[in-house]
Amino acid sequence: MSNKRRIIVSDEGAVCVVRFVDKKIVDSASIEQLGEELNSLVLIDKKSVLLLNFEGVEFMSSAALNKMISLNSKLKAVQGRLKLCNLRAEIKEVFTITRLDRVFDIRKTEPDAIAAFKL
Amino acid sequence: MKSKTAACYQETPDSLSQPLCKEASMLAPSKDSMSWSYHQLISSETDVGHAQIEILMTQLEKFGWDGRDLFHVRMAVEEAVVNAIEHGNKRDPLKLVELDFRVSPDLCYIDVIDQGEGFDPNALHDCTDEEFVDKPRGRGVMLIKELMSETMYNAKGNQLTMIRRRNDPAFEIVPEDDESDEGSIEK
Repeated sequence: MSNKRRIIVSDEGAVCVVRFVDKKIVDSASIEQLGEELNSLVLIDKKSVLLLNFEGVEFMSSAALNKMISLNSKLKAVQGRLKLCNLRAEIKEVFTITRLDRVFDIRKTEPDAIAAFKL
Repeated sequence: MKSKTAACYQETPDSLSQPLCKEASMLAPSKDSMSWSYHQLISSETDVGHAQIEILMTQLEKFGWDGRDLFHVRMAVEEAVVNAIEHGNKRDPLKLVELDFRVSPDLCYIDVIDQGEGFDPNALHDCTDEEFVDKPRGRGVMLIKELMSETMYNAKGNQLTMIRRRNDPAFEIVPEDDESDEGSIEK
């Protein structure tokens, strides 16, 4: 697996679990790098079952949201699957306001999300 | 970061703004009535903008702001400042962004002005429409409107004035629908 600086990746069975290095995902260069690293999981590392675990993430801008939307599109293109978990209430609210809660499958905990993949 | 900011503006005007339109001026509290006010002209660099946002956040916390109130202001000002730098000034090193922050225990007033062409916020597509909901653009302006108590753009669209009232009843938490959190739609 290629080196990652903005994310920490681990495999839980068939699920590729992604955690975020930054507590606040706002820096433009870091967000660009985050997007590249997320996309590389699909395009280079050929991961197709991804779980984004937001534990420890305090804040993220809409630019970071856009990277996750792009990731979702890339996964869809390879019939992959994506779930999110451990969003703090305020970030979950952002997904709700923007209706992205209809785009992403958001679960409360990592075990909930892994179980929901039904692998 | 601050010295970098100051160094950029030795020959710049004190303000980029025209007098506020009538509606926006009604939003603006007088500086005397606020507990803290801050005015800065910054370069069109997001790291400089983020440093200014941290100054605002620190003051809000000093005045007891926390939780959703603080998060909502951070989200709105983040989107506003980044939009001004990236979409307004297009990161032009010759253009500036003017920031005016005023904070009290109960009110946060933010004015963000860029030197770009301006835009019509009403002409943006609705990012929650089915056609656009999975497209990676257009959420910043919507979030600003949704997360602040009052927002107003000038006619040109290069100046955003916004207010957030602390504990604003408009932002009371709606009880969460447990069903919606169970991800019933398999993606």
